[in-house]
Amino acid sequence: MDFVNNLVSGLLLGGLYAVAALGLSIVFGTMKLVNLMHGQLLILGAYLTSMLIAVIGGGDPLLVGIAAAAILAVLIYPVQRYIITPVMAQGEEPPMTVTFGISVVITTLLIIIFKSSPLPTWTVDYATTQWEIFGVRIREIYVIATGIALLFVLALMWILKRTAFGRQVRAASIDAEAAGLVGIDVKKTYARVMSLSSFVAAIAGVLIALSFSVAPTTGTGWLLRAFTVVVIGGLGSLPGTLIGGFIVGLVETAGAVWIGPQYRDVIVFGVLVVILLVRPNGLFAKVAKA
Amino acid sequence: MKKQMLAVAAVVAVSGLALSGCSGSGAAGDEIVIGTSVPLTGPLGTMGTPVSQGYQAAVDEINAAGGVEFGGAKHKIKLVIQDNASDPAKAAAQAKDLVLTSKAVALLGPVTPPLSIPEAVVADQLKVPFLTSITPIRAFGGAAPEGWNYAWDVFFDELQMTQTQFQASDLIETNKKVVLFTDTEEDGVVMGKLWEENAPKFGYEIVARETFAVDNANFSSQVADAKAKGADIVIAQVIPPEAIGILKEMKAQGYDPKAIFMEKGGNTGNFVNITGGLGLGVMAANWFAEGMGLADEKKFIDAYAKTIGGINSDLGILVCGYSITYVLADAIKAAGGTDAAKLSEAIGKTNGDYAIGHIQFTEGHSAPLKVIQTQWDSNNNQVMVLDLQGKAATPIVTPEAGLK
Repeated sequence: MDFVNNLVSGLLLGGLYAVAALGLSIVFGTMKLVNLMHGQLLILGAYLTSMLIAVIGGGDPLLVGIAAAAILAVLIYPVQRYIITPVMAQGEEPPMTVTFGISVVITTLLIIIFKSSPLPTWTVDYATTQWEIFGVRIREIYVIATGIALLFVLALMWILKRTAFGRQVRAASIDAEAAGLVGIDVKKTYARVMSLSSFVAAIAGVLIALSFSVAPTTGTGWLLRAFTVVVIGGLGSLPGTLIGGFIVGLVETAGAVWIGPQYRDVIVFGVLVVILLVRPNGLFAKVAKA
Repeated sequence: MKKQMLAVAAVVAVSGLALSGCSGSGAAGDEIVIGTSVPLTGPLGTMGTPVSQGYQAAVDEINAAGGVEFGGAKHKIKLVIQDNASDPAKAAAQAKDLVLTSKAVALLGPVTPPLSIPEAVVADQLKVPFLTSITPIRAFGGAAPEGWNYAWDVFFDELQMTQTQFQASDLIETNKKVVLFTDTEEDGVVMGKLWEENAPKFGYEIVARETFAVDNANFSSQVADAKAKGADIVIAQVIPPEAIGILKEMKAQGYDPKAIFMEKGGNTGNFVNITGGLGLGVMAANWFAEGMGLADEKKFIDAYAKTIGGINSDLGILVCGYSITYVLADAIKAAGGTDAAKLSEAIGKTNGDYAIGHIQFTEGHSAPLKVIQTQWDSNNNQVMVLDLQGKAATPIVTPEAGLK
């Protein structure tokens, strides 16, 4: 039963990792931009939710988190439109550097406003409740995270394939210049994609805060984990990101149980290196490119 | 013309005399510059802020009384504070800058070994007295196998600290089985080893030692293992985010041991709040609490407990900072000035009672403070449950209330 427990626990933890990585995947898949502020966007989502809860005097973090995610999406739109997009014409490095700079600004502002302490834990039952189904123990928050991951992947795939906005995004991602020539406002499209990515990141940040803890400086660790998920799953592939999350969750849990928790990162990044040696574009880059 | 030249020469001569009088070390009215590079931001910012408050409070008090007396005059202290953002490299660079640019005659330290040791190395290189606290003395001593020359440390001895968890556990009914949670930071490694060594001496069995990388978030396998081993006692040496992660996982898995000790992570001033109440009842070693019998206990509680948010380790850190500032001021007075060698020697001869307790340095340039055990209550206070003599104080609430 321990084996099944660990398998289920690892898979569901992977669902959380997938949500955390989805925003990164969307941005890379569309703009070929390695968004180094993604980790800070996750954390910012949690802090914005906390601020909103304080302002309205309570509320469920996941519900309030939707409002916080919308606010973050609005805030990040001009950042992409007027700061990041203008430097994208200069090659891959300048926009990456800009996102790194913005990540430092976000961290510094969070430290100034909230100090260095972890974000106070929200007292909601589902954050610390565990179900037992046929002897298998399942943490409720991981189930919620996995459900949200599936929902986001399906919704994002639908948006990209079935809506006018999605067609613009796909056109811009294939050939931005040609998309511009046929009347698509690529700059606005990029800004909308970054807003969408931030919305997803903010919800993921709330789930991370509910599951573990967040502090102003924890974004970097989550950026690294999100990268691992995206690279394993296949750069820019949404279903690949979901599967990448499951793989990382499983490998992490199995490694911790059967080899030792202190080797968790060694095992995860070891698997990443092996996968990249065999499939340099990740497991699902060609199979299921969004 | 000749008269004018004589007048100018006279003015220059008088000015020169006046200036030489002002710049001479130890002369009347000189301001003493003391520097400190502390972590006001970054992961250690919660500890750096109260220690700098303690430094400033002591300096303000000393200056209000006229300053430090030596050479027949009183000299005010100018405290130069820099934020090293919890970065060891920045801490070392700022320590150097404080001495070479700000002309600090002595340095007050930051908190914890990763920051204190790089600054102590700089102080020894520049031959400037350095006095620090919130740095366990074995970690401090171990960083300089040849011994420190100008660096001094006032804090607890890890050996005594790692005995208090077992002494406190003796006060309640348990199955004497212990699980250790230690991260891979130096103090996690050192404390873990000491707990493993101390446990059998007190009749306890370490049934598991859960080790993990710093900033680990997912503790599901470790908590499941601890629960499966049936340990009544959990002892952890962790940072606050790890402490929160462990408590959340314990709550989710329904593991509520009879005693939880969270060293370092549990010594965060707002612990019960940041854990969403899960930390209520967690114990942690401490060096300042109500009822310890320290001379100025009430003075500090009255002055700072409200602003700090309770009688807890943040207050203890503040009192440590306050105390070592007075040790430095007394040493300047005893040395008759700020000559580095004489001042360092005077610090080493310190033997007196301060706000944090009796301070006397050993050969290893460390002055050990005895620690007690405290338990978090619902008023954000850390209540003393094991006193300085290793005896019962306030009864321990068991099992840990926050996980109920």
